[in-house]
Amino acid sequence: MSTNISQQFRTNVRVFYAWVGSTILLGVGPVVASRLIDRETTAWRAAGVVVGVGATLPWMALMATIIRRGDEFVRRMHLIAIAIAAAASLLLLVILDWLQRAWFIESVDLVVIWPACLVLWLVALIGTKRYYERER
Amino acid sequence: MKNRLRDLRTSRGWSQVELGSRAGVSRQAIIAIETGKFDPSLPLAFKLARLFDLSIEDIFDATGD
Repeated sequence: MSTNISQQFRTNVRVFYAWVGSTILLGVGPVVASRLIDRETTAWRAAGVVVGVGATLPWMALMATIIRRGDEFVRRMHLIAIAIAAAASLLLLVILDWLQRAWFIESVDLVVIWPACLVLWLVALIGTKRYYERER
Repeated sequence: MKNRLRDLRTSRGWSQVELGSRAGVSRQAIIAIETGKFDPSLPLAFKLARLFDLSIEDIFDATGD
């Protein structure tokens, strides 16, 4: 059993390092991409798009791997959190759309919306985790 | 679904981590099953029953649903 625990520990350490690396990339990527898209040529701007999108992929792949490796309860928890986040994101988009159509707000930049969707997913995940850990 | 998992676990002196390790699931899964908020799959229910040398019906009570 100690071998299993040791292997599990090593796996957890690797996942932690991957999480740190991908999170740094998630933060640095948009900064680099923003500088690239400010350049004049199409090639640099295209590179900015690739960097901006590419910086999010390792983090998404890691999240998918963590969920896939989890037990049936972990997968259930993530499924519920993703469902809540999807519904909340849709609601957010509908609210912004109608506020915009009714001239209450100016058009909202997508750079605000996708981090907001990320935050909604995190809140949904934390909320779901707390619900399951709380006594009735 | 009601269950006796917490009573059975404590009677053996096992922690939630230990039971989770024996059943091949996380501590969170054991917590969620014990609080009755998560019903395990049939394979996991069989695994838990085997750990306590009991049948599934001896641990889980579906009549309360």
